[in-house]
Amino acid sequence: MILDVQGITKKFGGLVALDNVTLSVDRGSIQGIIGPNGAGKTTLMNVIAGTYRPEGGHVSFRDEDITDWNADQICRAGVARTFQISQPFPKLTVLENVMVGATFGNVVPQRYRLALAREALAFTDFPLSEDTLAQDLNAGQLKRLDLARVLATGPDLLLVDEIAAGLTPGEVAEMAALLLRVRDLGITLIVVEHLMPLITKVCDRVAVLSYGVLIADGPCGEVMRDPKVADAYLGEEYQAASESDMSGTEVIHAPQVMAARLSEEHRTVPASVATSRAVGNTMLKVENLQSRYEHLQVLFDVSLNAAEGEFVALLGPNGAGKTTTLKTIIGLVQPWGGLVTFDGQRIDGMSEDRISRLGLSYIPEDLHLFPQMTVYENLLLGSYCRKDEREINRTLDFVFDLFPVLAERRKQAAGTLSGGERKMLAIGRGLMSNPKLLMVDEPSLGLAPILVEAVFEALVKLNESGLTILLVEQNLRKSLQITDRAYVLEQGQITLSGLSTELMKSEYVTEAYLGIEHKTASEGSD
Amino acid sequence: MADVVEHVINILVSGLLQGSVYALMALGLAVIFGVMNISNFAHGEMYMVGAYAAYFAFSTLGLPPLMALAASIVIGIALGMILQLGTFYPLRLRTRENWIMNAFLVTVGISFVLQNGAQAIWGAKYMGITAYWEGSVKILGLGISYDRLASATLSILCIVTFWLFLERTKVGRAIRAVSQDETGAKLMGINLTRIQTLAFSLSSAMVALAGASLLSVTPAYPTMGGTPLNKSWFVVMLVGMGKIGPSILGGFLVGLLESVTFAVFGAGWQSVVTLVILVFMLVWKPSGLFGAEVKGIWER
Repeated sequence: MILDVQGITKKFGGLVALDNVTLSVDRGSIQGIIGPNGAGKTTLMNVIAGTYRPEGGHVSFRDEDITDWNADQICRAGVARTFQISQPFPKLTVLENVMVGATFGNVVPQRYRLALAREALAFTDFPLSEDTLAQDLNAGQLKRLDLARVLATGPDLLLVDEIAAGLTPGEVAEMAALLLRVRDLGITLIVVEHLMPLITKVCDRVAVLSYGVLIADGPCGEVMRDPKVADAYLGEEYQAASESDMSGTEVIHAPQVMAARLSEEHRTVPASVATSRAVGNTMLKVENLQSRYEHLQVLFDVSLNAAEGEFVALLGPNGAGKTTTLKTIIGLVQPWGGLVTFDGQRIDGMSEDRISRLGLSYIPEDLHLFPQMTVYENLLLGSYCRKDEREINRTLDFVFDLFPVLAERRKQAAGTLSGGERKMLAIGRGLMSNPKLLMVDEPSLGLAPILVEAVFEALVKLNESGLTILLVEQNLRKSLQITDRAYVLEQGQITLSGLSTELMKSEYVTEAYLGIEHKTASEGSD
Repeated sequence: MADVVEHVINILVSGLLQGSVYALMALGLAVIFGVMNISNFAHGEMYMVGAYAAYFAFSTLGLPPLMALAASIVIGIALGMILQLGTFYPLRLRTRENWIMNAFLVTVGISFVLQNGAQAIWGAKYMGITAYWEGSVKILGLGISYDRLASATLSILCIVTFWLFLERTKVGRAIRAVSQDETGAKLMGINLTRIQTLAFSLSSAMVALAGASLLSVTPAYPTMGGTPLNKSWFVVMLVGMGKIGPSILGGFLVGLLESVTFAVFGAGWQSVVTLVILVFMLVWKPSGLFGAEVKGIWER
């Protein structure tokens, strides 16, 4: 046993991020940690690596209590980590970045450092020259650099935080192989990950965190079959997928709330309506949109449109540029090129508050609520640009009708709401401006399955009442079930678009996304 | 025994009178920090401009006292607008990197320009008045000049009005929204520049009024801003940066602290005691007495 975590409790103010978590990791094994967003996975990494001091419990590494050690001491003792967001030194070359790891890690004599750094780079099959500046790397290359950098510190235990986020399925497979090779060097790994294909491929054991509590820990297949895990994380769908896979027939398991909409009649109706409406009034038109952050171009010629009353989805893997697309439309990111027309008016290059005033409501993934104001005040701010008190009150009643829980909590500060309630408040606040178009970014992210249903149900209701919606989601299957049309965005380019019903059937989608789910599910239930 | 009680009451009353003005000054500083992330080191010069404005309105133009004080508010608002639209707004458009540092340096620059400008125009001399309102009143055995009383009353009135404005009005809500989440505020269609200009002007008006109301105690002179600047910073550092409620409370606390020190150790020790407390505060709890790691000018 190389690492022993005993009863760790970590609080942030009133929020219990980790609640009495106990976990032990055997030398030379790969331990996976999964769980919904906000479950405490990264917090646990931070406690082990010494970034956070826990309020209770102990961490021992090689039978030594390291709970009170500083992060740098722990690093020198042989615990290294990669971060969710790659943080290389942008102006240093790839080799220099790795040298930093070699110099400050589990120290080797100076004359070996260059060789060590080169060896680490070679080990990760780094595809570019070692003289490339770190700022010029793409997502996949950054992840490799991260890995090379921590390997150069000569770790015994490697904490890997969401290393496959934003990678294409091909890159994920390569990364999985790489992690296995790292293990074969004798290094123990703890892998925090959302992508089940990676977890099932590399991990010996998997632990599941949910709201800070360790709800399962055991061999991979066993944990996947644990009903508690399915409930908290994978959701009903996941089980359904594995069931259907085993029986050999494709059955889309629809949650009850969606049942009506999913029956055959309902599915064809919105699609045909959509085609007829699309010819008429275009609400939003995006043509050849380009966007970049500093040196990194994120969007390449993205074109999409939404007609009045349409429910459109923008789908794709993590890091494909979905959020950037929305942010560029709303003006939070300035477009590098291309045209955006909203309700007959060009809006690219306009400031975000002006665009919002035109009737475009954006509900960001990170919500941007006003935490110290009450639910009621947050909603009122949503109607900031409207004058007619009567109309505002009518919308308020509508929002309270849609999300009764908000009415109950109207005097409570937004910062004290639960994740699901916050999401509802953000949507409600977005509706208060009486928008013509609602853009929602990842409404299902980090929510318990039951709440995901509630949020999606609300979106369907809103669309049925005539609101145009552009939805960004990673949950491909569910999005296709409720939307009229969809676009698939991959690495900043639209690779596929069409009616949702047809996309659902398309081989490409099944292979690229649902296929993975099926495979993992069946592996998990072997 | 009666003597002791009277003595204690004296200390309390003079502490509260002084504290109300500190509260007003600190409130202005807190608003700018909370809403715009600016550590304003030109706060004292805004105080100075208020004092000069009142002096000219009262002595030169011969306006009645309340009009003179109103003039200082108007000049304060104008100064705030000019400074925000002339310096911070263009700076924000150019870059938001290192904002805290850049904005801080800009305020230091403004402070130099205003201070030396005042000296160039009016010279290094005191421009004071004997009193807005002659006479004094006895409260609980303590003689208090009408001017002192008026300055405290005006400060408290101003604080209460501003509080209600933030709490009750739509624009006040928008100011709080900007202080808590700029992106969120923009997504609500709130024009950030307008809100920031408003916040800066109001802050400047409040400290200008503070300077004007104490004109009979401290005459106007170019470098008069140093003391109020230090006091305001002392208050906000003591209670936590950029929080409105605590800054008001802190103003009164510091006022009391000074009058107690004055009574116990004598006038020479006032700064020593307050600064020693500040040093210990920064070591023991750098986020301030009521400081928390949440952003926003409103505590709940």
